[in-house]
Amino acid sequence: MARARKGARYRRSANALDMREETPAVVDAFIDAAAALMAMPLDAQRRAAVVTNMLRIAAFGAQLAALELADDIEPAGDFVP
Amino acid sequence: MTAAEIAQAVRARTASAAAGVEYALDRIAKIDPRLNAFTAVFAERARRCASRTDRAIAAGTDPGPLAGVPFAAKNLFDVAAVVTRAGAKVMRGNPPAAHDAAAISALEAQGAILIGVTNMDEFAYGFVTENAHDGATRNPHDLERIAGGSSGGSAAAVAAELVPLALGSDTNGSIRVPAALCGIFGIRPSLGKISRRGAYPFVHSLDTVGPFARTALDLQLAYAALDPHFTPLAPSALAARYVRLAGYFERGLTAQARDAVERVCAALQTTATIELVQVERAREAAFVITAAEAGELHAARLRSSAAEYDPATRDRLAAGALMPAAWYIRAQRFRSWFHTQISVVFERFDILIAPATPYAATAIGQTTIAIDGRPTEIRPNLGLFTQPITLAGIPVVTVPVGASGSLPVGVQLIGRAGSEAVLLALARELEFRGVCVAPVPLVPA
Repeated sequence: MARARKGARYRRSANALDMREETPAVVDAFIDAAAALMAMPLDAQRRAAVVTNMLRIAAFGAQLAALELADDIEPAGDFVP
Repeated sequence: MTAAEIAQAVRARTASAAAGVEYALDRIAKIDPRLNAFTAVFAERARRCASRTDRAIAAGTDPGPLAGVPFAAKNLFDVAAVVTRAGAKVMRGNPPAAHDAAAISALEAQGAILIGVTNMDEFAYGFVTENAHDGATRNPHDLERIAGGSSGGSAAAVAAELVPLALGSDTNGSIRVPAALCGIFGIRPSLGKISRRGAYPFVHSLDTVGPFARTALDLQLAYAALDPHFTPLAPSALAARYVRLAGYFERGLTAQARDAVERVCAALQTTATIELVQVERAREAAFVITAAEAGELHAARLRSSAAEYDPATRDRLAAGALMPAAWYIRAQRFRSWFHTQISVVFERFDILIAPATPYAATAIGQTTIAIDGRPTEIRPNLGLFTQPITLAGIPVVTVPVGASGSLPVGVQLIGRAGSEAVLLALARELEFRGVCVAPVPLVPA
């Protein structure tokens, strides 16, 4: 088993945003607000499909947010072999 | 004929490049209407190029190790004077490309001849090549089944022996998945190793370009043309430590996919296994990075021309364009961490072995498959075993493993960054031993 060198313990952060525990209504409201902010018009049918996709992203985002990473881990840059 | 055989014959003047091009054009005309691998064929360009090649040889000039070899490219690669479509309707009003993509130029600089461009999932966002605008590409081993994606047209064209080589791109598995389902060899190079200039982007952080071939030697010839620093390794010089990826990479596998991995491991006499730490998070991070970057890339067009998109692509892109930045940054920070974990694994092992897909090609239009008696969604799970590896930026060669009477599946040979020569040597060795051989396509000639 490969072992972690630093960070990434499996602990739910107190600040983790767990969208899976939120109701779709919260995502509905978020999509409406974000679409307006980004000037991206969505009709009712498209809005429903975007909500479905956002829920999937949110579930994955929540899993990643729950993973505690050391503060000094920077976003990945380009990998140059 | 293989690419190596064609080049040898053309260089030795026992065959002409012109005859090779006519053979490929004829085969495409006869077979492709049933496959739908090509979206455009450039007969006149190919004939001009073949004529130049034959004249050069007559004048005593060697065109290179790919002399006269016809090849295809996924239709996200720029071709001079042609509109780059990237599988999309919304791109069709764009001006034609001014130059060929770097990868096309690199192959042609070694003597290869571009024949045409191939079908793909819209903007490379998919694993099935069921394109809403250009139709589905069919698998040469069963015309009712998918070729895999997103580089499905390139993989099908090579598997059906329409061309010996083709170019694809791989962000989350778009070379590895169709290579596996079509029963051919494919390589996702190390991130940053091969120029992406002139290849329409999907996810800037993760995109790579690479070739497909029916033999490991042909794959190496194509890769060598793309990587100016490549030095081949003789299979006899291989001295690698192998390990099979366990845990996550064993879940939801069909018996056939499991057997394929076991056959490769048995050939390499390895029983060692290892579980990668947080590999599910790696897949999720790749998914989030993909959504965010692809969504941002298309945000302006989604405002102005949303109706031109395939609805399935459009609504995924829209969700990505609207997602909170914190998730994207977290995913990129996780990517840094995961890269470190993979480096630890490569202190103990040289090559990791894993299935390319959980199952063989499914039917066109099919949405679920029963795994362990449970219905499982096909589209999101075809990239289950390729997507986490993407995050580490390391090279992978997919090798075909077919059993008599069944559809092919593929196995991933995964190496540390920059180890393409080792992976290609191993693919050649496994092919030589008869473990990994591209099956003959069933599509009638």
